[in-house]
Amino acid sequence: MSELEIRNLNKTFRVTKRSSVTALDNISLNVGSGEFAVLVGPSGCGKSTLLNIVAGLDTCDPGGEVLLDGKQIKGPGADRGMVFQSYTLFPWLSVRKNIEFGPSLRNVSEPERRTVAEKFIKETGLTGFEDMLPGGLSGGMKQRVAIARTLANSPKMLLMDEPFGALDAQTRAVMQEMLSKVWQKERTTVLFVTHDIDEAILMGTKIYVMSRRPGRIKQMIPVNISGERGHKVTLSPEFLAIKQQIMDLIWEESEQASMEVNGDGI
Amino acid sequence: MTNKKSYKSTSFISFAVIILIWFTATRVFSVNKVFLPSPGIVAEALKRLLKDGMLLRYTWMSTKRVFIGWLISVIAALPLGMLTATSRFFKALLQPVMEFMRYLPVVALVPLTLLYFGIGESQKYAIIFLGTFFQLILMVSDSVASVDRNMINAAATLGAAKKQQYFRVLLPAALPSLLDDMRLTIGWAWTYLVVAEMVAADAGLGYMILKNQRYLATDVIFAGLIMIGLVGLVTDFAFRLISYIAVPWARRLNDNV
Ligand SMILES: Nc1ncnc2c1ncn2[C@@H]1O[C@H](COP(=O)(O)OP(=O)(O)OP(=O)(O)O)[C@@H](O)[C@H]1O
Ligand SMILES: [Mg+2]
Repeated sequence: MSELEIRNLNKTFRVTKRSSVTALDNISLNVGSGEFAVLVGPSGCGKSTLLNIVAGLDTCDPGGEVLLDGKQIKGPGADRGMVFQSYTLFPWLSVRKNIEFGPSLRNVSEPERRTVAEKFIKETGLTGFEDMLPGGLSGGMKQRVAIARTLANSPKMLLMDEPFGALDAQTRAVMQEMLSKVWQKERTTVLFVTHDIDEAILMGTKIYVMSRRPGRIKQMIPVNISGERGHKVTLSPEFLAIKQQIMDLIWEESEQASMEVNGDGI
Repeated sequence: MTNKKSYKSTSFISFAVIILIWFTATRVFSVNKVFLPSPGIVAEALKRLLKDGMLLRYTWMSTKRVFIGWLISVIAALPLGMLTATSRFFKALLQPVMEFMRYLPVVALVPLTLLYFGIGESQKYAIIFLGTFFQLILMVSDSVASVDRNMINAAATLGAAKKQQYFRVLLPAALPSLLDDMRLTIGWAWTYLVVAEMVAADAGLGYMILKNQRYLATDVIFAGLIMIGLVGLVTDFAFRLISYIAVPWARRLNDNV
């Protein structure tokens, strides 16, 4: 179990020689061991940028710190598994070989790889699809493979950037349930990005609401919902109260945005 | 949508039509046979040349030259193309030079190759190399660069080191497109070889075609052309077969062998 700590992180993109865009403004957050943290916020507020920095695919401005178990992260690594919104499976490898990819990079022995792959094929509901090529799978199935592939690598933490964003509502619900179950079992530390407030409350143990660009953490909302987190819970008073709270925060943001637009005389 | 069988018979029809027009032209309009020998005469010539072994010997010789020259070009272009696609430094180093070089017509380089390499085999390889290498680097670079960035990122977050990203992701992902590049360039290699053989050679199909122009042996010229076409057809088929078997995951809707 591992803990992620982000301190005073800023990110500026150089656009041209003269101008730049501040994508992230002084982000500090903490995802405790075994927690499922969710980032929600308007489009363009820097959620993907933040996740990419934690994954090591991008760097933050000097001064910011990203610590995993107290150690500064340097570049991408197998300790932080990432699931992308777009499909990133290797189309020339079967489902099983895709899932075994991570371990095979570290020369884990064939039987050992098999065992690990088998475990996550079961957990993600891919039994019967092992020998198929990704090209023949539906979007939901592809994301199952992507999740299994990441988990089979036993990462210290899981980064997920709108993994169900491209799926239809029904498939999305099934996938949420599946991921919930897997997470209950594995208790990996997760940082999860979504647009979908229901999804955030359903999956998360805490939710960070971000402001629009430049992205700041507006508020952290713990999710304390007792009992099972099935889809029935979306109608419970506890759930709705949290939803109301998040909606208010986001609404505040968009009102501010429209006021500024009017103020500029547009 | 045509199935495999009707694809083949349809292709056959187009050849049949060409031969029919050819036949009609020579028979009905009685075109001078020095200009256009009839299919029958060309078939005769083919039979004769096959029998005395010359045609096969020349075909083999030309094919070998094309293959070796092209292979040298591929072996050199693959790593350089990959580097151009993945490193800013190599891109800056190579791309402008390649763009310049690929606009030089190979025919204009023939005199230089004769000067440097004489008229032996190495001159033929040199011509094919010069004709295909610069183009191929750019094609390889394009093919590798168009691999989905997210796929590389996914591999990196799974712990793939740079070398593993190259050999276990970039290369296999680009392979279908690389095979296409190779298939195209081997076609050009044939063109350049025939040019080289027409200028300076004492064997090969290009040589045979040029020599027989002097004797107005149009039937032999046609036999040579048909042979080049056939070898091209076989090569193309071989490449498609390789693609079909090696990268089944990249089969397109209208692919068949
Ligand atoms: N490479 C880049 N160069 C310049 N600006 C960038 C770059 N990448 C992102 N940005 C900018 O940074 C901001 C944050 O982008 P990011 O993709 O992180 O947003 P997001 O919250 O993930 O949005 P969405 O919800 O639409 O996915 C955006 O305004 C975007 O235009
Ligand atoms: Mg995003």
